Amino acid sequence: MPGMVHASIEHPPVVGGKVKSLDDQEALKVKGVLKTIMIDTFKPPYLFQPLGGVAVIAENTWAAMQGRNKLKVTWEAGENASYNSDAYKKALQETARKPCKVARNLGNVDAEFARGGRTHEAEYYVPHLACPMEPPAAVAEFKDGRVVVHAATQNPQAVQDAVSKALGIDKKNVECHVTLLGGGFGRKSKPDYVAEAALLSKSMGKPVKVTWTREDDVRFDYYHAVAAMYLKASVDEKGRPTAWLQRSVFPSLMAMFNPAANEGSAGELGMGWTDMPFDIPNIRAENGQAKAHVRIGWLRSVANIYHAFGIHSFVDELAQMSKRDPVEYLLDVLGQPRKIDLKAQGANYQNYGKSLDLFPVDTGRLRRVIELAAEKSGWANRKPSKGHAWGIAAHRSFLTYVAAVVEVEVDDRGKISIPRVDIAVDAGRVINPDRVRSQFEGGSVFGTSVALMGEITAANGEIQQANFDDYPVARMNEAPRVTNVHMVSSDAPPAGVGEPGVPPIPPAICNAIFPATGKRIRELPIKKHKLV
Amino acid sequence: MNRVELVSRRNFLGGVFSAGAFVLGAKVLPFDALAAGESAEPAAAAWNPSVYLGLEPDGRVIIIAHRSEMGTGIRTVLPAVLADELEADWAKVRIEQALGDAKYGSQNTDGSCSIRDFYDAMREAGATARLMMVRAAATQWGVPANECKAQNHQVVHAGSNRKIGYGDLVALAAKQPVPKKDELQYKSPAEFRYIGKDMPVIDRDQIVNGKGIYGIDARCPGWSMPRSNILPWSAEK
Amino acid sequence: MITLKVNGVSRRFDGDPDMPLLWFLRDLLQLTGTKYGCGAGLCGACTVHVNGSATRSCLTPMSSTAGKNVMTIEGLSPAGTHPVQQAWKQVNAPQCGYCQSGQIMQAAALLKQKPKPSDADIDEVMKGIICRCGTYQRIRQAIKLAAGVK
Repeated sequence: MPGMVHASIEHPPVVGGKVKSLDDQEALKVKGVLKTIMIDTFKPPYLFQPLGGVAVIAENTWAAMQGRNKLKVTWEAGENASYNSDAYKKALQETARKPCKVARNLGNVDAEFARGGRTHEAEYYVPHLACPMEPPAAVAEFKDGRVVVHAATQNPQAVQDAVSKALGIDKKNVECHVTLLGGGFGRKSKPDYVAEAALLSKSMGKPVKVTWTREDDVRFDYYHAVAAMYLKASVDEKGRPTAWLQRSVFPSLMAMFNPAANEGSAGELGMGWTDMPFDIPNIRAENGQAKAHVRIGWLRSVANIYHAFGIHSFVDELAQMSKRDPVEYLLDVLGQPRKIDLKAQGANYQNYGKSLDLFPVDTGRLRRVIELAAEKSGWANRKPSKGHAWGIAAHRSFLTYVAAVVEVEVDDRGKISIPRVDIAVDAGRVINPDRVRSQFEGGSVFGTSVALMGEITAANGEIQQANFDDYPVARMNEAPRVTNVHMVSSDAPPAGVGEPGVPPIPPAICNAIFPATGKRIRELPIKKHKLV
Repeated sequence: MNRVELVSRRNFLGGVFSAGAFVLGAKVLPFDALAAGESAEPAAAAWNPSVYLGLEPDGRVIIIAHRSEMGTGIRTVLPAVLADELEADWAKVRIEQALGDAKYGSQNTDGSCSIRDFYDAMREAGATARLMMVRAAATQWGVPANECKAQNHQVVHAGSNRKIGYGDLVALAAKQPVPKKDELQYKSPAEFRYIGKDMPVIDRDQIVNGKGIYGIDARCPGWSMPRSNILPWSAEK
Repeated sequence: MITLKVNGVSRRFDGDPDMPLLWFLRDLLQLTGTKYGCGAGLCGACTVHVNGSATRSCLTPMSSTAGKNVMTIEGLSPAGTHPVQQAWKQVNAPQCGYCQSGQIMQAAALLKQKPKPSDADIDEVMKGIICRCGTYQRIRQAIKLAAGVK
């Protein structure tokens, strides 16, 4: 069996595009380059199929990359060339301003609004996001109708599926070894890159390693969905909401499996939207339609990212509008400890696949983490000043209750620093406290990247970012200096810890920026806004 | 809800266990099946345990990690739950990464679900194996099982001050009937050795030494991931 | 023909002189502890020591390495007992671990230059190495532990 060769793959710049013409003469002249191989563009739906394109096979990774730079490819872009992030954002926002499909209803929001009391409304927007640290990479060896792969994958059975379909062999003939993953965050549950390695190995008759470049990872990801949200509330004389309307519009993950899917699934809506926890007599949660023009994928905490940003920014706006302390206000709006019966309010709530008997939506536990975060952060004694303030947000996701108090400093040039974050967590029984702390320390940094700087955009269907210069993530000097994790001791069944640290961070940061600067951030990332 | 059985046909486990090993599998029923009631499960349905553990005659405990390690510590933490209920010495535990196989049930490491989906099954598997060890020792000594106790990789009979290591009980334990669920006795939180403790992950030292193998580091042909990639932390202390 | 030393061993290279040291280490010497992260000097995952200085191997062409001493994570200490590595273990710094070789090599170079670094010193060099899991707090803790500073 000959030795392993390396592949670097030029993908269609617009997802769904096809090779129109290829001139590989110069590429083949690069020392170490062995061959170029065309990979067919997938047939919809996306699933975990290879994107298609041209692979350059070489003796080492560098030669493959160099050869690839010399390819002359023209592309047929296909229908997703219509995708422009600016126009798409406007369309989503337009959709969110009009009545959409009702996902949960309690009382009569319209009647309450019609009474003509004080109201407040706001729109929020979160862009596409991407990126684990290790780019997609896999080795495959096809021999005698069988494939052995070594891959960083979150889902080795999905590897078996994707590879068997790509090669037309039985799943039993796909042996998938799982390596360590250099970060997963959802990207590595989608094994398109492993199927690429298998196809190329079959074609070469040799083991092939596929290594995506960072640019490939940023430009050809399964992206976290963009989302536009519209929220409106009427409030009583104390500023407490009497009616609450929320609309969320985003391209659904389901488009991965069904190109016609244009509504949020129950699973996505159950991530922080239909389970909005406030005790308000009139509530309506809606979801509008949006068609996906890129591959949409899971990213750490998924739809909770935008839903938590919308809801927990808005509730803070209501607190500020009524000049009430945000923690006191949050506890007031959450009401007495109770278990919410979402089914009675028409919500198809899936509760992360777990029974509501074992894992109820318990506002008492949410109150508890808010109180703990406030206490440990010294909330009551904080002394906000110009350019220095604190914000809070609390969110249940993956059955875990999390509250974050974030201290933010904004200097006179608008530069943000985060000296301290206090996160209170009730994840039920904790198996390894140190690893739970580390997940929430990391969630704090991940959430900071989302809040401050993460943004993927498309122009004519092509992604406009490529590497850590134009798609930055938080570095040591930008990340929270300290994240203190405070765990509630609990005998409740164990709940999730990998993802729930992320959602409260962006709204908590923005809720601190408001008192620090007077600027209310309603669209992420914050770097797009002038703070001073 | 879960079900523990002895595993005799285990080719698919990739030669991880020796022929003399005592191997248990524990099945985890998905939530949908639970909701529908266990009787809704077709009697002929494939028995697909998510949890496998084996005890080797040399005393090693091998636990299959069927989740992917991406930095959460999951391939340490779930096996540690099992090892705790088994009353195993962590230094004698070896963790093996599972190949992709539907026999494990879902391996999709996604949705922050690994602990909540497998915590109970890990405990049940560990408690089952522990009870079988205790019964094997009781049989060997001809004493009532309730006079024997598992303690740090051994079974102890306090009355006669006798002790026997798990490895020496493997052959006899494999002949014990698998206990019913209601026969199992779980540890109280005060008895936990590993649960609730800050154990370092098994991959820590490899990572710090630059020897952890990621997808981008894999090689072929005829190459298999170094076994040394997956060692209990105590072996490298 | 280029001759250099990698972890104390003499190595020869007669391929593309533009090939970055990173790929020589990873593909040709199979020293995979040094990671690819960006290929553009933006993330620091590929950091090694060249003549004792922390260097991004993804931007270091082989032509510039002639006669140089290169040290990778595999050569930092035979048994992983360098004070920085020990501190890293003590605070359980890694999560996924992918960036950690680069972080450790950068930290080891920092401590050689500044045995008692301030927070600002740490920020100044460590900001060059991205950790997507967000282990920065423990990295800072580990560096201070290794340096014996608070």
